[in-house]
Amino acid sequence: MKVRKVFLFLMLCPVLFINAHNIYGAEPTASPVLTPRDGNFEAYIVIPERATGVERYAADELAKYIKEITGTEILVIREKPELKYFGFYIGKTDRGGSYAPPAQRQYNGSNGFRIKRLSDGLVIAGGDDLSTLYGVYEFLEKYQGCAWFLETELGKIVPKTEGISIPEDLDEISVPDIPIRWMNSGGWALKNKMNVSIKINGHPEGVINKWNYHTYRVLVPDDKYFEDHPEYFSIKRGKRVPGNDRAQLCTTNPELIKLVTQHLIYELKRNPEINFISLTANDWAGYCLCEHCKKQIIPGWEDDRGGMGSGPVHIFNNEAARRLKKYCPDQFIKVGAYSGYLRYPKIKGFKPEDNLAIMFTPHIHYCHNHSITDKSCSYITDFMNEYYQWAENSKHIQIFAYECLFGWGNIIWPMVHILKKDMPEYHRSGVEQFFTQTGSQTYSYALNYYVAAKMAWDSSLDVSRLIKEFCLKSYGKAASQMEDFHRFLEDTWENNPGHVAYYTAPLPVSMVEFYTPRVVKEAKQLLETAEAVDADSLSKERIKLIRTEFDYLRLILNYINAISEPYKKADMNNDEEVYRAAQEAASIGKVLSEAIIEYFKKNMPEEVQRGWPYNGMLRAAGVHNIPYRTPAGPERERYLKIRDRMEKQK
Amino acid sequence: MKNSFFLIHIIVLLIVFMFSFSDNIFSGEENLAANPSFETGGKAVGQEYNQNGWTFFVIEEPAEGKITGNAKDGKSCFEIRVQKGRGFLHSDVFPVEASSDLSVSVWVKGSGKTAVEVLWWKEYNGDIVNESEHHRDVLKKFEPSDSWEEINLSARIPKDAKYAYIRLAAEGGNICFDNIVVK
Repeated sequence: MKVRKVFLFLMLCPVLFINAHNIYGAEPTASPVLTPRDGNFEAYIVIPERATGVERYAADELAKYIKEITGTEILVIREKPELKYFGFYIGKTDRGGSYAPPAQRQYNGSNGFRIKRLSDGLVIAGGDDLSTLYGVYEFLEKYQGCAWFLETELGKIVPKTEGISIPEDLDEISVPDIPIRWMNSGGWALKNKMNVSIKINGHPEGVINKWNYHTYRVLVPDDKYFEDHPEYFSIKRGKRVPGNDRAQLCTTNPELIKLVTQHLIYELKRNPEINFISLTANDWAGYCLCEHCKKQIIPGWEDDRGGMGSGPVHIFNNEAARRLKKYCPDQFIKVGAYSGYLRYPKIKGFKPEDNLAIMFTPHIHYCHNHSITDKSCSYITDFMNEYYQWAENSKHIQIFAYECLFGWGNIIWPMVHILKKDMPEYHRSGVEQFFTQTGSQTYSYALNYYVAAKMAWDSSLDVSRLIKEFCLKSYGKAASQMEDFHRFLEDTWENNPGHVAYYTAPLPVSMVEFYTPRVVKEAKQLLETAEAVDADSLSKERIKLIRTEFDYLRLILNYINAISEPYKKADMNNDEEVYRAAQEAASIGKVLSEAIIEYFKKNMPEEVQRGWPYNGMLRAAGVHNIPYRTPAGPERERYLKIRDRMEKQK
Repeated sequence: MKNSFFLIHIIVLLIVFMFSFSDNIFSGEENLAANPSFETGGKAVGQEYNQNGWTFFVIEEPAEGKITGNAKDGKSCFEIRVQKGRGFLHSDVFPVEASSDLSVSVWVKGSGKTAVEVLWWKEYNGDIVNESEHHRDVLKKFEPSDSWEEINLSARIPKDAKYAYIRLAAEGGNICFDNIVVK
């Protein structure tokens, strides 16, 4: 029997087949295209004879998207020496495995991949299994024009073309700057090369975290321990109180240290796949004030909002880590540096144990409108002084960011101007894990998420290009107009010296200072220009999503301005006048908030409605937050009393 | 003469030695509680953990625990002054034999409320602790009087317990504890 002729499917035909880049208006490149013949690809996707589950999944994903792009199926086969057709060699095949980057890092999904064109095939091989899968997504994204901006169908970009573009000289090696990357979860996370909180065929893959952050109440539950061992818990207002009473643990109690260590060991032994287990204080103050714990408070930091808990908490962390190391030497404890235990303890000789991963958390009194490199923002410099001490002294420094923070309120909020400076600095200073809280699944937030994910992998990327790519893929013919819209907001924010943060300048307060009437008017005009473009239907739907979010934003702004009016007229030094203003604001707020809720329910996509509740924003903006606008002190206390009075009245 | 003096000297030393370990020598069985009459060491119990065989915890302020001279026997006892507060005095941990009986004897006097408890552990070492399935027995809750009173209690050691310690709890008064015997 005649050996079937080897077909070369790579056709140099830049004129007939438009590759992914020029579909969206970028510079056209002359890439050969693999096209089906008579409804079949005479090519295969080849996996190792003994492929792992992840390698098989990577091959299946490639086949799935090739089918979606071209409409033609391509088979996945196990490697055989006699294969004569064009092959996509996935993972550690005999043919392509040796091209993979070395597995120098211990975390799955951190070793990078290589995409290399051969004379009769294409190798996509990772330094680890998960990285092979990322190589597949990179190939689909960069060379076929796919993208996954949101988990939704509308967030998925899969161009329809007649062939698969494979540049003849393609040889790309890509290793992530930040080894551990964590944003969102599920399919979006996987396709955007996150290696935490992901599953493949129902099985957790990548870096395994046991718990994310606050765990005192998990490790020492009130209902199990408070009755028998009140001495394990904080002394607060003169007595031991359970964690649920906004308290912590008595971290100097030697028995408690052993108990916590035992619980950590139990979890780690039960699941040896765990990489990091969290040991972090509850999400409030309430640090123990027993005589032993008080001795560990750093002198001068007794009332310091970033350091009051630093001494006891971090000494406790080190004690637990020292004990745990003997039992689980290859697993790590993740501890927060946050809120009252943010500061690096000023204790002679203090150094975090090597098996501690410090999750530094810029939040609370931080500023989210300035980059970590901005030396003119005092909030930032205060945080960064601490950060650099942690980074210099810790073997594992990680970041718990809020780059997407204000998605909590589903408010359009540009963050790219910060990401473009923060991510390179995080990489430069040795960050091992980048995690950011994510909230809203709105389309405007998709840009923030996209840029953050891209830069976590490669912090040297050109952000302007990323914005352009996002717009080209999302908005089709209206890309240029929508780019103007996004850039206008980014530039406006970047040029605004104002601060934004949870306590520093909460969003309900600061947003009116950023979204001035002029900014709203200009942004609206830019959006209207984009809406007028005769784009394709999917692009128009995406623009419509932005419009919905923009109108929602305007309603919220209107609400905040309206409820602020009564206070402007009141004598704020007079309790009765403040109380009356609060009552008036509440009645205005009630009417307006009902209209906002109605709008939200009627217009916002399901995925947004499933996220953070609409009323979170209203509550944050509302009349009960008069004290929210006021720094801690007697004035705030007075407002809190007025708020309590109103609550009772309700 | 010189030899007689030396002999008397030895006898005196022996008597002093015997009295200092009286709990062990005269009971015929080892007392599991370390420093049971609070006679050894300084008065720093409660100031630092794990000193002198006992640890004091403030549970609710105001509460103070320290070694004082209001002793039943010898020079010292442990006194918890809690007024309106609450405090715990924990013995050091000691090994126990599962499924056997543990007896506890405590001399108590004072005002307020007290309780004698025992807490059971499966593991207890320098690194970790692991509590028994049946973790705590409150052996007795009572209101002591102004005069010394001996409280004799017993407990069945849980089948998974290998270690235990005694907790003497005090609430709303001044309570003295002395001559604790655990067997």
